[in-house]
Amino acid sequence: MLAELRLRTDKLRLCRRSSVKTRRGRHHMKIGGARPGRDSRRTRTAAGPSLGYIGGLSTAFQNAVGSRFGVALTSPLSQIPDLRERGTDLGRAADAASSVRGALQKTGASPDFPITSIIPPMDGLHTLHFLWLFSAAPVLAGYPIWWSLALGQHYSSLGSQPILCGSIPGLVPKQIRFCRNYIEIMPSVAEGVKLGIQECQHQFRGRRWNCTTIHDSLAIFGPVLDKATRESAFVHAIASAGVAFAVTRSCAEGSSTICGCDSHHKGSSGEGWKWGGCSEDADFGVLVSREFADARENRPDARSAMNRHNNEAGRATILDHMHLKCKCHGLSGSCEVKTCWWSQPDFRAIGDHLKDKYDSASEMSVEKHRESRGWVETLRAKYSLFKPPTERDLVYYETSPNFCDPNPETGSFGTRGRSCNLTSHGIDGCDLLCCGRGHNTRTEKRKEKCHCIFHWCCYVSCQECVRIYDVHTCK
Amino acid sequence: MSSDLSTLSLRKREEKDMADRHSWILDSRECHKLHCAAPKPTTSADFLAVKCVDIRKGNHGAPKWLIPWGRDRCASIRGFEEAASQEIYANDIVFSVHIPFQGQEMSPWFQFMLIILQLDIAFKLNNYIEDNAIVTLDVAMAYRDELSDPWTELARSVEQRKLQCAFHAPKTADNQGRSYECDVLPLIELGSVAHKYYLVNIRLPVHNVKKINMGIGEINDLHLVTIFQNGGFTKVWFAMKTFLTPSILIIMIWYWRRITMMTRSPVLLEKIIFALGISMTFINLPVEWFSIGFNWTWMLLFGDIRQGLFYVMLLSFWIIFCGEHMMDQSERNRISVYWKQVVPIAFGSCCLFIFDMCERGVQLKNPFYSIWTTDVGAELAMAFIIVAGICACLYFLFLCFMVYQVFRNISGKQSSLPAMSKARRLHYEGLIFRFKFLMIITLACAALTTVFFITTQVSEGNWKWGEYNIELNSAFFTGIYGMWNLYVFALMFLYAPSHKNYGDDQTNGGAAVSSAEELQLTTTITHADGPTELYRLAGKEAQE
Repeated sequence: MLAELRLRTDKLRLCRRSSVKTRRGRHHMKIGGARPGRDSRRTRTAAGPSLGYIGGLSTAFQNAVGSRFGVALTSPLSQIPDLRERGTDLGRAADAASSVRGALQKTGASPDFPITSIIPPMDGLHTLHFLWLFSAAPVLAGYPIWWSLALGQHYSSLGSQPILCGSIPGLVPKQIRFCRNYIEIMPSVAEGVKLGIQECQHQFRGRRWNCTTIHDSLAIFGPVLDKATRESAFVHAIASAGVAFAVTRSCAEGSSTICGCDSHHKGSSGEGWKWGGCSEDADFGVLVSREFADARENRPDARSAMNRHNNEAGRATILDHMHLKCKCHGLSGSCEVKTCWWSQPDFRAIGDHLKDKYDSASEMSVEKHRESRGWVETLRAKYSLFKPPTERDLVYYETSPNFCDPNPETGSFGTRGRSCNLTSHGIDGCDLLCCGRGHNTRTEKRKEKCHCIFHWCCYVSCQECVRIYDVHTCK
Repeated sequence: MSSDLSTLSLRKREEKDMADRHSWILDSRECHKLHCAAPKPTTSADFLAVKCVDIRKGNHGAPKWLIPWGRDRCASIRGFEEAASQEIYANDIVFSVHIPFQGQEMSPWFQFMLIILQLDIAFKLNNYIEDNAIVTLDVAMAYRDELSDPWTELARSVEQRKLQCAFHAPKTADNQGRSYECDVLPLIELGSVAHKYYLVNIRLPVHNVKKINMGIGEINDLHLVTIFQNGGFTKVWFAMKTFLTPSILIIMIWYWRRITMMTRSPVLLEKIIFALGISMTFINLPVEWFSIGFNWTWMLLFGDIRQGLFYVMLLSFWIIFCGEHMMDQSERNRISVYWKQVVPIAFGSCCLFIFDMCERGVQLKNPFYSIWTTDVGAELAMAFIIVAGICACLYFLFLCFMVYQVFRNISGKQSSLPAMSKARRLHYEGLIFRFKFLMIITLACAALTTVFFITTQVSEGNWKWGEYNIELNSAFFTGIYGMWNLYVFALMFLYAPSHKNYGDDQTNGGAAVSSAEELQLTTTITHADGPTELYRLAGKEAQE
C-alpha cells in the first residue's frame, strides 16, 4: 500500500516537474545560489511562505525532510542541531513522513502530495514551482542517497524479491524511470555500489578516515561526503566504477535480455547476433553507470560538475584496465586466425588505481559564468603551476577535515579506539593515526583457527590454536 | 480539472517513456548497422557461470541438467560465503552456462564453436595455488533445439587442466583477495553448431584422499569464453567460394585441354601447376553449404587438410618452377630430382597432419580433448611443431638457394645474350621474363600476406575511416583468399602452353639454328611444342 502510494507520488512528481521544465526551462539551485532576475524573484516569493509553512508543521515532518534531503534544506536542519549526531534514522523519518501524509489524507488532502492542497492562496504556477522545488530537493544532497541500496535490508532482499523502484530512497525521476524500465539490472547496480564501498574500505583501511558506513541511516557515509572533498571524489569514482563493473559482470550471466546484444531492436530472435555477433564487453556497463549514476548530476553547480567528472574518471579506469586475451585457432591451432576479447580487470586493480588518483587529486576552484540558462558553475584548476587534471584524474574543491577528533558537523568519527600499527611509519602507524595523542597497548589472547586445510569451495578443516597478540589502540 | 490535466500529462509521459525506452541503448549501438555490413570473421562471447546448487542428495539417478536462468532455473548462490554458511559442499556446486544469452539462438552458420575456460582465483595467504596445480573438471554438455524440449547429452567427461597462474604482487596479508592472473584453458572444441541452445555444466569435485582439486586456490568465478565464426562472415565466405569455384574450374579445364592438345606428354611444371589448380579448387569447393543442413563435426579437420594440401602444392610448385628455370642444361622434369626439397615439405606436412589428427581428430570423439593438457601430449605436440618448423626452415633455405642460382644463371645468360642466335635469344629472354614475372607476383602476394598477418596480429581489427568502421580482419581474409585464387588463376592462364605454331617465323628469320642448339632448347620445358602464353607475349614484346 505504502509502496504503491510512493509509486504514484513519483509519477506525479515526474509529470509536474517536467511540465515546469517545458514551460520555463531548467531552473536549478533556487535555494543554494541566488539567481537574479524575474524568475528567481517569483520563485522566492513562492518558496518563502511555503518553507515557512513546512516549518510550522509537525517536528516529525521536519525530521523527515531534513534528514532525507541532507544539506539541501539548511533552515529546518539548523533548527534540529543534534540531528546528525543522533545518526539520522531515515527509515523512521520516512515513516514519520508517511504518517504525516496519512494524517493529511484523513483531512481530505491529496494522498500524493499533501502540501498541494494545504496552500490554497497560491496560484497554479507558484504551486508547481514550489512542488518542483520540493521534489528537486533530494537532488541537492552532496552524494546519492540511493547508495544505501548497497547496504542493509535492501541489499539482503535483492536475491529473493524484486526491487520496488519507488521504495528506493533518493532517486530522481530519471533514475526511477530507468529503474522501472531496466528492473532486471537494478540488483547489479546495487551490487556495484556495494563492491565500490567494500573496495573503498579496503583501500582506506589504515587511514584516519576509513570509509565508514552508518547502517542506520540512508545517508550511508554520514555528512562526511557532503563536502566536495577528496574523499567524496574517490567514493564517487569507485561507486560509478563499481556499477559499471557489476553490470558488465552480471550481463555475462546471460539472463538479462537488454544487455550484451542488440537482439531486441532487430526484431525476431536476434538476426543481428547471427550476422555479426556482439562483443559489447564493458561498454554496456559503462553506459548503465553513466545513465544511472549521473542522472542526478545535471545541475549547473560546482558539486554536480565535480561528481560528473569523478564518476566519469571511475568509469574510464574500468575501460583503461580492461585487458585483451586471445586465442589462436587457425590451421592446426596456429595463430593464422586469432580471436581476442576484453576481459574485466580485478576490481582491486581499479581500487589501487583510483587510490593513486586520490593521492594525486587536483584541487579546483569554482568559477561562475552567466549563460543563457542562468548561472553556471564550472571548475578550474586552482594552481596553474601544476598540470591541469585530465579526464582520468579526480578533482575536488573543498579541503578535507583532519578526521582526528569526532565532529558531528563534518561527520568525522575520530580515531579514538582505532587499532594502529606500532611498527609502521606510514599513516596506519600509531603516531599518525592517533594524531599524536598516543596509544594504549593491551595483550589479548585469541583463539584462532590454524593448520587449516582448505577444500574448494566451502569447507575448511582446522585446528584451534591460542595466540597472544599486542593490540594497540589510539587514545 | 487539475487532476485530469495531471493524468493526461502522466499518460503522455508514459507513452513517451515507452518510446524512449531503448533510445539510449539504440544511440550507443548505431555503429552496429555498419558492423552488420562487414562483420568480423569471428566473435567471442563471455559467459559467466552461474553457481547452481544441486539440491538432490546423493547425486544418483539420471543426470540432471541445471539451467542458469529462465523458468526452470536452478537454485543458485551468489558467492561462496553463502555456501559455507548453508553447508553446501563442493560436489553439490555446479557451474552452469547456457549458450547463448537469453533471447538468442545459435545457428549452423557459426560453423564451429570453441569454448575457453577462464578462472578467477583470489589469493589467500593460507589457501594459495600450489606449484603444478591441476584442476579436475567434471564437464557435461547438452543441447536442445526448442525451449520446451528436454536437454540431450552431447558429451560428458572428466578433464584435467593444468593451472598456470601468476601472482604479481608480494604474497602478503595485505594482498589477500587480489586475483591471480591465470592463462586461459581450452575446454571444448565443436566442429559444427547444429543446435540452437547449448548447456554446459561443470563440477569441481573435491577428493581428499586422491588429492583431487586440492591446492587450487580460492576459485571465485568461472568464465566460459565462446568463440565462433560470425554468421555474416560465413555467408560472405560461402558466396566467395561459390563464385570462385567455377572460375578456377573453368580455367583448369581450359588449361588441361591446352596440354592435351600438345603432341607431347605434359612436362613436370605443367603437372604441378595443374595439381595446384586442383588443390585450389579443392579448397574452393563450397562443401560447407552442407554443414548448414547436416551435423558434420569433421569440417574443422577437413578444412585443415584442404588448406594443408594447398600449401604443400604451392611450396612444391615454387621449388619446381625454380628448378625448371635453372637454365643449366641439365635434364630435370622428374619429381625425383627434387627429392631434397620435397622431402622437408612432405615430412613437415606429415608432422602437422599427425598433430592435427591428434588434436582435432580426437576431438571428433571427445570434444573436451586437447593434446596440450597432458605433459606427454604437450611435449609430443611441441615436438611435431618443432620438426615441422625445422622442415620449413630447410625448405626456405633450399628455395632461397635455388632462387639465387637462377638469378646467377640469368645474369650469366644476360651477358651472353647479344651474341646468341635469335631463336636462342628469344628462348632465353622468354625464360628470364617469365621467371622474373612469377618472382614479382609471388613476392607481392607473399608480402601482402605477411603484411596482412602482421596487421591482424597487431591491430584490433577495425579502422575508423570517416563514418565507416571497416573490419580489417574480414577484409584481409577475403582479400588474401581472393588474391591467392587470382594467383593460381594467373599461373594457369599465363603458363599454359600455346597451341599456335610459333617456330615458323623464327626459322624464316634466317638465323641459323644448329642442331646442337635445338637439342639444348628441348631440354628446357615447354619450348619443344611452342611457347606459353606469357612466352608469346614476351616474344612479341621482344620482336617489337
